[in-house]
Amino acid sequence: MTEEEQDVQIYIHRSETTELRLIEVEDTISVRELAEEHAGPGAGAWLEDEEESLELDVVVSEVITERGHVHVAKKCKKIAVTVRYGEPLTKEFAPSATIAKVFQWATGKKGFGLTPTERAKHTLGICGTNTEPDRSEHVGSLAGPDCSLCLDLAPKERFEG
Amino acid sequence: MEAALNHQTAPDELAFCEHVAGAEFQAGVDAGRWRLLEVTWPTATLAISAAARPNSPREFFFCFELSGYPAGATARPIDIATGQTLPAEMRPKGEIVGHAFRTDWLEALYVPWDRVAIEGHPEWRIRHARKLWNEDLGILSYLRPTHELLNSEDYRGV
Repeated sequence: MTEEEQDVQIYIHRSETTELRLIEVEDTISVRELAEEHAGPGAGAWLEDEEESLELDVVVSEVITERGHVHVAKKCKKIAVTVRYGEPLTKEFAPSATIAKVFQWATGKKGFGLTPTERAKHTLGICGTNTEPDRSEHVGSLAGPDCSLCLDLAPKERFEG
Repeated sequence: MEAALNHQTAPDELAFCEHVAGAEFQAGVDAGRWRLLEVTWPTATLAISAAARPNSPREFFFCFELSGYPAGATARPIDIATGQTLPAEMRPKGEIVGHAFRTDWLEALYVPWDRVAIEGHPEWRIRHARKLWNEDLGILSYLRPTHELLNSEDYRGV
């Protein structure tokens, strides 16, 4: 490493796994090198909650902050997210969209239009499972190989008994 | 923390140290969601941040009991100034949040991801299956839903 080069730590999110990686790379490597190292040839990269993918030929220090979150994906570059709350609604998101962002959309005016009181009493769960994803998780990490994700907007429960 | 470990470190403490050194826990620290203050095995003190509300703190402190980790954990909210269990008037309020922080039972949180609470409510394993402790996630399966409670619109402050 030359004097000008510095290491930068980056959180890497990947497809079909919620395992998060905190890696350290020289800040002079390109986004392409970063994406391909963690997701294979032809992979793209997205900053968290950004719809547009990163330019692949820029160096990471120009676009990724220290301990920033980046999603890398080779196949699923858009995720079709369906939220069920009575009638299902579907919207395409970048794979780096967080569950928090999907919740904002699903409960907002372009989604099911919940009131603040109703919003406080609902949460998102993965359809057909007992999994309630964390708000920080990326839709690209939760989606299957068909690049889609189904979520139920369900009432939060008070713990009684 | 590694420097504090030695050949006598028990498997449960080692497992906890591995989890708090992991990327998922560190990402929560970086995002200001929680932080680890102290470990005196088998207890640990952690802070979990809360949404801004009038006349209310921005984080709450918890004394965790972690014996047998990662099989489970229990925690009681504490007054960090005294180390005593947090009195009712200093606890988070809200329809769902207030119930989780109720004081009219044991000291632990009244939630399915708490080891003491779930032992007393086996029916919760079915009724609240999405909220149970997960050994793979370890301490995250306590921190994430508790943070969610304290940052929901249901939370009204203390």
